[in-house]
This record gives sequence, C-alpha cells and structure tokens, in this order.
Amino acid sequence: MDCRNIQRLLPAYQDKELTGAQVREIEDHLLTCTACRDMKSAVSESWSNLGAWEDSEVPRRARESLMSCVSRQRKMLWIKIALPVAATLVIIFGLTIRYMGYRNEGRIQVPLASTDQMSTEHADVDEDELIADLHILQDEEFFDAVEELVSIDYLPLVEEPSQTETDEQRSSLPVIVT
Amino acid sequence: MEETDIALMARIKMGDAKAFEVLLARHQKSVFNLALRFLGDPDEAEDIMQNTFLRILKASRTYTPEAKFTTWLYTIVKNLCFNVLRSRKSVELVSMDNEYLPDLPATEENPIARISQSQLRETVIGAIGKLPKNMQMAVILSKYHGLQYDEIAAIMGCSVNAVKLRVHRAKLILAQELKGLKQET
Ligand SMILES: [Zn+2]
Repeated sequence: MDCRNIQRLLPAYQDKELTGAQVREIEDHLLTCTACRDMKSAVSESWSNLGAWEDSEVPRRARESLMSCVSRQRKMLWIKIALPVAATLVIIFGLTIRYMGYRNEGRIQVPLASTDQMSTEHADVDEDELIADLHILQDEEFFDAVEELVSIDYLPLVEEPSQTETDEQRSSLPVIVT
Repeated sequence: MEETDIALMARIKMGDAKAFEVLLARHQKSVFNLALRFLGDPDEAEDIMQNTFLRILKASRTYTPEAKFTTWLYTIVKNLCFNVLRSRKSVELVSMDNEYLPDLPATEENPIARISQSQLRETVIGAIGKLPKNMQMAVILSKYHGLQYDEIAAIMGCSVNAVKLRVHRAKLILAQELKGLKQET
C-alpha cells in the first residue's frame, strides 16, 4: 500500500477494525514513514481537540415556556374530557326528572279518573301503558340526545325539547281522559 | 436507584407531570446541544428541544419500548433537525455522493500553532461545519454523545458500515483541518 491508502485506513486502524494482515502492513509502514506517522497523530489529536467545543447550557426560558405549554395542553385535555361528561350527566338528570314528572301525573290522574266514573282496573291498565310508552319515549330521546352530543365538538349545548312537542306527546298519551 | 427512562415514560403515559419533568431535566441538555451543534443556531436549537419533548409527551400514550429510549429520543431530534435544514432549502443534503474524501498529500511539515481555547473552539466549530450534513450528524453523535456506531446507524436509518465510513472520512478531514493546532497551556 502507498501512503495515501495507508492514511485512508488509519481511522479504521485506530478503531481496531482491520484484518491482521492489514494491521501488520500499516505498522511496518509507520516504522519507516514520517508523513503517515504525523497523519496518525493528527487523526487522534484532532478528534480529541473536538472537545474544545464544550456543551452549552439550555436557556432557562426554553424550559419554562415548554412547561407552560405542557400545562396549557393538560388543561385543554381536561376540558375535552369534562365537558361531554358533564353534558351527559345533565341530560340523564333532565330525563330522570321528566320521567318522575310523568309518573306523578299518572298517579294524580287515577283518582281524577275514578271521580269520572272510571273503574280502578281501567285506570291501572292506563298507567301500565303510560309507563311502557314512557320507556320508549325515554330511550328515543336519550339516543337522540347522545347523537346530538357526539356531533358537537367541544362545547355541547343541551337543548330542551320545544314546549309544543312536549304537549303533542302528552296529548297522545292514552291516560289523558276528559 | 435512578428510575429508568422507560419507567418514566410509563408514568407519563398515566398523566404523571412529575415524571415528565424528570425526563426533561435528564435529557434537555443533550437534546439542545445536539441540535445546537448540528444547526449552529441557538433559537432553532431551543425550538427543537421544545418540539422534541412535546412529541414525546404526545407519543407517550402509544409508546412501546422497542429500542433504547435514547435511540428513539435522538431519532426524533435528528428528524426535526433535518426538517429545519429542508425548510432552509439547504442544498448540502444528504446523499453519499457528496461525502468526499479529502486530498491527502500530507507530506509537508506542519509547524505546531499554539492557540487559545476560544480560538481552538472556533476552529473546531468551523471544521465540523464544513462537513457534509450526514457526516456531521454521525460525528456529533459519536464524539459528543458517546454513541456506538450501531446506535448511530439506528438513529440515522442507515447501515453500521455507512456510519463507520462517514466517521472515518470525517476524522481524516478534521485531521487536515485541525492539524498542528494545540491549545495554549
Ligand atoms: Zn507513508
């Protein structure tokens, strides 16, 4: 090998990545060639001179602004989770109140019906039908509400069903007897 | 005993803010310095440090430890650094073609020049800055982060032999650039 090839192999020689034959050839050459010996020193010295470029400290504001960005993100995450949960609870609560309201109406109307010469038996049947209808009503409304909720991104608004709609539903109930 | 990075990641996944702070404190300096040495711009290095840890936070939900944590971490930093280079529309990217071998006559005498620490530092920065970018990244990871060639290969997405070739060539170039320089004592 000539000097150029020897020098090209010096980093691999220093990394101990050459074959035994290559190592012997390089070491024999280095015994007699000043230029290649100098190059060998230059390779290791320059690599160690790279240490003159020492580490820099991270600016404090970089860390601080990162941490404040992270805590903002966490708050947003909480809002994303908490809002839909709160909205769902409000809907369930509202439906429960309405369901209770229907039940009470039914109970009140039983004695009213009996004063209108209706039999107790008849009134009982009406109440069962009422409850069955209410279950259907409740399920449909619940799923409508959930559907509405998932279609809204972050700020779900809970809308009350309109009054006229409620009246229509009420008037169609079999318990209303005049 | 110090908690491992992977254990910290598991806690971050559960929303543990303290674990994130520990991980940040442990790695922010090496992330910042890798970006700073590679890009040479403190503001860009700051951005990269912040983006790296925001990505880690985001990825913590799906993180599964397949490699060493630092390999994953440095891969994120490396990708962000090369993105910055692309956004600078740098032409010095990144094929093996532009990784040249230096001329190596090396026969003339080089008188030893004694220079100050800060002069040596500037010369080193200049010499590393002249390397092709792929070579620079390999040199920085090897010299300043003490990584083995196989880990550098995993970070850079190339073969171990390609890393060796880059570092060996870089050593020859740097030897020429820095030959004969000695720090004053
Ligand atoms: Zn020679």
